[in-house]
Amino acid sequence: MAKPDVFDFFDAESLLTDDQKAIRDTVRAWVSERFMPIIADHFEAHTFPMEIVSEMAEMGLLGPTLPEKYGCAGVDNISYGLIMQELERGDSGLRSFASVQGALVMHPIFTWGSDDQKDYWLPRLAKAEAVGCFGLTEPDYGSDPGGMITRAYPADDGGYVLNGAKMWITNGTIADVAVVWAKTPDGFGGFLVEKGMPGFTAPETFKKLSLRASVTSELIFDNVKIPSKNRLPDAHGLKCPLKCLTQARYGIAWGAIGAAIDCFACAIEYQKSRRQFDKPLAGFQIQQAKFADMLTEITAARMLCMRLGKLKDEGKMHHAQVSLAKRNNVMMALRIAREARQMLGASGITLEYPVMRHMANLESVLTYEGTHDIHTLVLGEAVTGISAFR
Amino acid sequence: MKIAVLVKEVPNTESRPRIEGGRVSRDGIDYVVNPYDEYAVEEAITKAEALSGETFFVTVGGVSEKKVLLNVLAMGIDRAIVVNRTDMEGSNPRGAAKIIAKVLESEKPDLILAGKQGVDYDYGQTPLLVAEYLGLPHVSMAIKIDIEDGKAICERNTDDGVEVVEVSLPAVITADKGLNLPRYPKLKGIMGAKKKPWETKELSDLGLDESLANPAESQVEYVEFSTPPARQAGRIIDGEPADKVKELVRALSEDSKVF
Repeated sequence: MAKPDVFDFFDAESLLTDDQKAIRDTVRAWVSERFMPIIADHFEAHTFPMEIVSEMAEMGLLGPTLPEKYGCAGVDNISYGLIMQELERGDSGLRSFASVQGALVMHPIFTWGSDDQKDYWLPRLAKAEAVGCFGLTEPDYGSDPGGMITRAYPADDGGYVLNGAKMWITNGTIADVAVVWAKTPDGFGGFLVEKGMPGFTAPETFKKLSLRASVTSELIFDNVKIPSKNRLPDAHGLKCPLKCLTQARYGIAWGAIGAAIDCFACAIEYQKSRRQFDKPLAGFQIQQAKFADMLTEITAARMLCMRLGKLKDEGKMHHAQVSLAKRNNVMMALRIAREARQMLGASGITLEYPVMRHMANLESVLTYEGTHDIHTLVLGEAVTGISAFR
Repeated sequence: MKIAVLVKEVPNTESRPRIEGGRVSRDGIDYVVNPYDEYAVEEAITKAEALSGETFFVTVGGVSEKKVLLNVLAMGIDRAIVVNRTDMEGSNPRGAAKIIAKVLESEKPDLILAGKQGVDYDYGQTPLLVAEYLGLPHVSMAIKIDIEDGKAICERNTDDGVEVVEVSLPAVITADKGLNLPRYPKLKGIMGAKKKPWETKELSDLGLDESLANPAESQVEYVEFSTPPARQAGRIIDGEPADKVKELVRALSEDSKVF
């Protein structure tokens, strides 16, 4: 029996189609060759590498599951997951960019938008001629989005007047279009707020110690006039933005595996070459116990995602299953990143190695798109039938 | 405009070749498209896009899994012609060139592009022999190719500067690093690659004799393969600085004969 590959211990590879493997390998090569050499400098400079966005778009990594009609690739959900995994092996900021553009902007426009909105925005977003962002979270309403203050009042001309503020918005400052969720007289609605609309500003949030290679912003709406054609006609109720988040969380569950693998691989390489007391660090029992835990957790996380992807492709995925995968996999990746940081000793704190960068990023990933604790309560409700927060 | 690209599968640079039975073993070796051929592939796709041409690749081999060559189609080449000879890897540029020339005789491309050499055995002969057998002009190691009025104007690096060469088409041009930046396959390209035409040919289909694949045909005889010797440990010179310098100069001039 052949010795199992430590990076694919339960041979998930044989569950993949040739296309899925080729897609993953292509994205992996691109991340290694084009992204890895520049990420540390961008992370340090607190900048997002806009220079590689057109390449991502050219390959078809933005909204890849959407149909070809809109210039997208129409890949299955396992392929999509593998793309997210490889992007986050690079950096959570890179995966965040793709997640937001695809799952949180293109997905709602595709699902609830008018034909005009789809025809105009989707090809542009796929080609990265336009960048999008998603505005749900507010300064005072995060886990409880139903309490949001942002309001869209009907105007005399049939359009809306938008007032309020959104916070922690990935890509906000660089976005050409924001999918903004607001309270309306009829409940909740989704609006396409375009860059340059009078009264709309999106200042960037600085001094972040996490996701430094990603643009985070506030969105401020001061009597912004929104034409009626900019409302998503089929988006009614809070369930719509929550469905968007389910899409994005699905990608995060996969992405976390990428970050974990990068830390795991780095720790193995470092520990095998670094010698203390006349032998490699990897030869010490404490270190081997850590490797055993990492191997187990990554293997389990991957099998979870493989199954989740199948359920999604079959149209049978429940949002609580996504909560379980996001909650488990992100915490798994964060633990591994922290452990790997220790296993690299002092070297682990520098940007010469990816582990502390991943660790810092994953602190955000643990919190965004439904905090770890909220997903815990979702699962608690799934078990008991009793909601702890409603 | 019909453009042919000559492509070869080579071991990736991370593979550790082992010698078995006097030859380099294929066991445990991962194959990739020869990196220089990727420049040729990129150039073919770009030129075909600009001149609304068609493209195909020719390879003699099929030594690895099909996925390696599918990558060429995923990048954007229209169709594949694979002459199925797994026994000619690295052994026989002359035989390979005769086979490829035979394929191209019937295809009649306007332009034949190839990498300047395979990074396995580094002969750098096959494309030039193809030109010879077809009676076509060739330009080797191009870093720029412009097509106009049935001619190719190519730039190539030389020790003294850039040389500009003009050839009439059809011609064989080999690609050097710097010609372009090969693209990554698009997701749509990857998913469409398997649907593109894929022709597998045997020597008999081409009306060629089996003896072409015979190593004797290459007119090269392999006497021996050996792995590079392990690097020796360095030497530390002890003593006072003045003595150390003296000993260093002596060692460099007498032992290692650097001076």
